[in-house]
Amino acid sequence: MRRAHRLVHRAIWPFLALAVGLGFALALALRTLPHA
Amino acid sequence: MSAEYRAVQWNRAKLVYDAVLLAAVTLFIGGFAAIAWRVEPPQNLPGALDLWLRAFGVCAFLMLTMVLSIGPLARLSPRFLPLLYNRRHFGVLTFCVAAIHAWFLFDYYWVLNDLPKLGAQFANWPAYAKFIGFPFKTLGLAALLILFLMASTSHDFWLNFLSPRIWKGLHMAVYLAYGLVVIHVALGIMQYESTPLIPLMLAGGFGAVVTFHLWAGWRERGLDRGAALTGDGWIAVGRPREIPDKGARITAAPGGERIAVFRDGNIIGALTNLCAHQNGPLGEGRIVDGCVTCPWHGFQYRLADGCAPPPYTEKLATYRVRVKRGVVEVDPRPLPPGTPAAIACPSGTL
Repeated sequence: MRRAHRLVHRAIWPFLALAVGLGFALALALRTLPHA
Repeated sequence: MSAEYRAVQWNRAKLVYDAVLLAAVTLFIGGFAAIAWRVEPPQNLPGALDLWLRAFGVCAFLMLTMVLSIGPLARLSPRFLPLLYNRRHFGVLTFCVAAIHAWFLFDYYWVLNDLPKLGAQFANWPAYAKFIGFPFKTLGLAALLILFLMASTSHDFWLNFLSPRIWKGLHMAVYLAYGLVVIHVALGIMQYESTPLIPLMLAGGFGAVVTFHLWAGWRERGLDRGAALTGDGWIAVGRPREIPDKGARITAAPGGERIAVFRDGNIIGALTNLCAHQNGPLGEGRIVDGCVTCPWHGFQYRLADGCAPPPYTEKLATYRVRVKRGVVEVDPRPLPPGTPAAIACPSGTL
């Protein structure tokens, strides 16, 4: 992999992990399940 | 590598890979449907369509998780290299499974004679300002479009047409697609089903992919600083015998670009570590039939000058090497692609 691509990967993954992780956590915490 | 356009250059390894993949997908979807049918048999056609929709959706998510894990796993351990060999077919099949998932969604509303309701969900503009209640199907559609873009350009024709740099940049959009899929499921089915399996699947899959990528990136950080230089600006690689025969030692120029120093018997040569095809790590390959062979897709280059053997025309940058006081050293300034630069070890140094 080119150095430029490695740097992009290293920048993307922490950001993606944070953004998606936060979205997932919020979706789980805020959900109100319909009554069975 | 190919001198002419061919749709797929089939060989036994690719056929086996694809056969195993198709069998696994069929088994998974069949098994999922069989278990779901037993646990909660659908009462009508829409119920059955919903079951198949979920089966294909879960399968597509798991496949995308695996596809994204192959790259970093192959960096962490060479035992995963066989998975990387035909990753394109894996990716294209993932898109196909995801497209079938979308088709079942369309079919579900078609059978209910309620397609306008499906359309209304995409055009429910006030809902786009919400978090819970956000039109999650839009996220799924966006991810599907990205996967379509990936699948339709998964061929060396596009790689050459767009250039490897642009093609690779384009294909990095798959990370955005994966994030969209995770949130699509989190804001979709996870809002309606209480089973812990859904959040576990999402957290486990996404967590694994992130961990593999961060771990592989962390392992490579040290080499990015570049190897230490000798007094006259060369890089000491090691004694000739420390370079495996038919293999390489990888070092890094001050800018971080990798250099692969190969040994073929008593011949030492240095090439860029980047394969001309898809920037695969040449230094992790072997010398086969006298040529450096990329471990990803088998592209070959002569050690003497970095040129692909005829009739192929690819050329790689080479680097000057020398043996000084019994130590192999490489000049980190690249020579023009195709420049002969390999040397024979002086007698007594091996």
